[in-house]
Amino acid sequence: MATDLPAENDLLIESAGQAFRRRSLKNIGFMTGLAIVALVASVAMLAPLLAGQDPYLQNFDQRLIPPFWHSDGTWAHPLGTDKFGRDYLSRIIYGSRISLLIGLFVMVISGLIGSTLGVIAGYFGGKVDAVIMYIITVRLSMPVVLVALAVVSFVGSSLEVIVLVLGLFLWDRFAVVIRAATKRLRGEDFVTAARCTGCPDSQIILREIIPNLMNQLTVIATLEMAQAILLESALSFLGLGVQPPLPSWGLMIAEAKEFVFFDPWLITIPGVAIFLLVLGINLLGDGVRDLTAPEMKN
Amino acid sequence: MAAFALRRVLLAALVAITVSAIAFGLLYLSGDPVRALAGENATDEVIQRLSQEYGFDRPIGEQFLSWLGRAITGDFGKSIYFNTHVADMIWDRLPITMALGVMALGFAICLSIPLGVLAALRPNTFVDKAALTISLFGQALPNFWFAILLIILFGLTLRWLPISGNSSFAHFILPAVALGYYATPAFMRLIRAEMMDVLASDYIRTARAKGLSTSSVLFKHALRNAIIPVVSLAAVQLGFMLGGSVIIEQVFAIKGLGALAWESISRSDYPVVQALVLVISVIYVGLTLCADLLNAAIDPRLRHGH
Amino acid sequence: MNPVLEVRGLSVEIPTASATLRPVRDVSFDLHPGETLSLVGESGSGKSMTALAIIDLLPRQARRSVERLRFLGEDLAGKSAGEIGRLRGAEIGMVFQDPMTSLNPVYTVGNQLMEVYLRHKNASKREARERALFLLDKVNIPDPALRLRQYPHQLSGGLRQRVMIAMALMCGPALIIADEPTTALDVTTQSQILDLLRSLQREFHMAMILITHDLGVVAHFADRVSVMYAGEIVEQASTDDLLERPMHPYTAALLDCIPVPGSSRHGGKLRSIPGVVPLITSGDQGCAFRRRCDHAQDVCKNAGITMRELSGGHKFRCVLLPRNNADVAMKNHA
Repeated sequence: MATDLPAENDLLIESAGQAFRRRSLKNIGFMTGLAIVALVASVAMLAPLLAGQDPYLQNFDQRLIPPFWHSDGTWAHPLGTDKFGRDYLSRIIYGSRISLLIGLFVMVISGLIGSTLGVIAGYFGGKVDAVIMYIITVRLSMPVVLVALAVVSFVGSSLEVIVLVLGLFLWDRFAVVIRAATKRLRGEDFVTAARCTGCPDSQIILREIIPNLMNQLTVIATLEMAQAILLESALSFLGLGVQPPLPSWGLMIAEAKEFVFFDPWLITIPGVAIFLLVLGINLLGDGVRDLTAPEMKN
Repeated sequence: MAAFALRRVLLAALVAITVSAIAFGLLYLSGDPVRALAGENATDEVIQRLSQEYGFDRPIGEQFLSWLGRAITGDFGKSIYFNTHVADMIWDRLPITMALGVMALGFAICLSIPLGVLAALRPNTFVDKAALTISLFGQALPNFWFAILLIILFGLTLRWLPISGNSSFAHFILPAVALGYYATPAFMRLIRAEMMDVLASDYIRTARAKGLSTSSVLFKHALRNAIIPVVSLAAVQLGFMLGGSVIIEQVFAIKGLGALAWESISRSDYPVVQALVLVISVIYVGLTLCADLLNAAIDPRLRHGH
Repeated sequence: MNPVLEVRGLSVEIPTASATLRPVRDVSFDLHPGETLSLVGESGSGKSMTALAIIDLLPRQARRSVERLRFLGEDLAGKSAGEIGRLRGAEIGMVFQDPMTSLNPVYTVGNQLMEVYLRHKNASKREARERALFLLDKVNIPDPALRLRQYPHQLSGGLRQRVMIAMALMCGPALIIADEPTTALDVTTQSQILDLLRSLQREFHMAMILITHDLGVVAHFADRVSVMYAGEIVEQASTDDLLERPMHPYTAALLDCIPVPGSSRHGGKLRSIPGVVPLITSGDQGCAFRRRCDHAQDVCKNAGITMRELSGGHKFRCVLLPRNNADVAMKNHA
């Protein structure tokens, strides 16, 4: 019996890359997130060009000028000035560097720690896994904010200390997810096949397991970066994070607290900046997850 | 069941001890604690005396064990700043932070259950997308900033609610919202996912085939199943809220454990800080244990060793 | 006697992004009191969807259209959701396929049995409990009082299916729809459950729609059969008629596939029908079976192949001439 087969050149065969590009363009969340993150990253990199003014320059004649949309505003200081007369726009722009830098470094450090622990625990199982699970449980039982505050307070707060402390604390989600993923992968046939051919563990981990983890790793990395940025801003807000006169957005919010009633823009603008950046990163992470590893949704 | 519970309790105790060791070790981060305590101009004699009084002259292991031993009996030593018993200070403030945490949790759950159920009933529609968007926005808001915005709006502009102190129930409302909103997205997503799974299940089809009312199908049958993992999450989230209360209590001037932690850290009042880390960790561990036990209580399948 | 159920022109459509699927197409049949009608077909034939369409339990995206749908003389199609809800469980009982997942794991068996009685009848808890005990006994469950307090996971698959049957009977329905009630059970349990269903049906004077893919089950338990293929009824007859003189090539092929031990038919090899049941979308025309049919001809591609009727209520949907068809059928069964 003749069946109706489609003509061969009617069949579209896409490469994986093309398929990803096509689907990603349709995913609004992903595109929005990507746009926001790209925007902030460019602002951070081009800061000297965009800012126009020195973010540390104090000018007591020009204190607390409102942004340009106010009647008292001026284009010389588009977002106004703070209590020291420093240009707010410049401070916001340079503040993006701090947020992004801290976010990136913490993500890398916690990612390395957490993924290493996760892969080892998931791959080797048994006692090794039990020990690492124990370490993770201990870490999860600690109040992060409290201990981070204590450490920074006792050791002294500088950019390096903050990055180190946050990096040493935020690896738990990496560890948990990577461990679960590694366990799953380890049971897969292609890993069994590799082991059967006498492939050493290190090679299997490097060549078979880790490449397959990249999707989930990327998703977690973005989420943790957002987490780090939020935590740093909280620490800076409390005064135990980035120290003045650095223009950390969290610090700017703290400095603006006393002017909340009369000069509300001082507190809204940095808050909106944090909100937008974190939103963008989360959207990006969610988008990557939707596109590459939808099984992670829960 | 008993053996399982015993194992969990032992593990929990071990974790608590490990955390307390870390808490104890925090002290030594600042270099020489005695010098920090005594001040820069202290004479050797003063340093000697402080050393002995606080036991710094003994080896670390011994210090830790004796501290731990006293901690188990409830003696956390004395605050360096106030010279009062740390245990009393913690005991005074614990109920306040607990109340705040429970209220925050309640807020998060009350908000997320309706949203999650609605989103599950109408997946991929406007309602669903709106709920997901709200959840996304919630996660991007820095909590201290949100707290201040709440203060501006409800406290200063509208003057509906008090914004400082903890003398009445109304004083806890804004802080509870500021503390709890961050957990809402996690709950909402969980409930949505669970409800969607449950609503597609065979036993819900059976319930509908029996002609039961919509509310019976939704609440008696579906939600009752979907809520099971939420209980575990609630216990864990309560723990996080206890830790995260540091910021909120500071902003709203609430005299709870978080505020105590902040003050003690700024004053380098080590005994208090160590005790607080230990107490909160023990509470965390206890809550996780509770979560496991609660699970068995609400899911009959876990009770009969299935 | 008036039929319990009259169905004319029942169709279900599911619009999707690429096409509109038609899992049920123009299904018509009558069901008389005390009668067992079997809907038979491979998976994908639309038999379960037909049952769900009758009691309005279709998935949200599905659209039902029907010319006539009468239950006990009353029009079902025009009823509101609330009215149909009052019929479900009360006048129409359903038994589903998988007993392991069809009961709610967090409530006791007793709770789930009693709730359907309490919902539809103005009864007290005590009366509901007594009815539940009565029915658990009827379905041959030992120690019913204990079972009432137990949770579903504490019962075996066979016991659970008996509970499902008891649950369907709680309100004394006039019609039972059993969708593959024994497929998920082991063979010995299967015949027990089917025997139980039949004796209960007789005792309580119920009509039954028995959905199955197993012709053996049909042969033993059904009075009449409707063979479904790709959403359509392709043949409908009394069980005896169907087994003796299958008119539609699909029916004949199905019967042919039943292995007979020691048979020299087909050189002692197992037969199967090559291919799978197609998913029919709007715009598809002609006989759905033609691509797998040994006797297909050009004319089978044309639209609008109607049911033809032989004596004794034997209907079939095929363009082939009865005489040739009968010869062919006879040949396959020689």
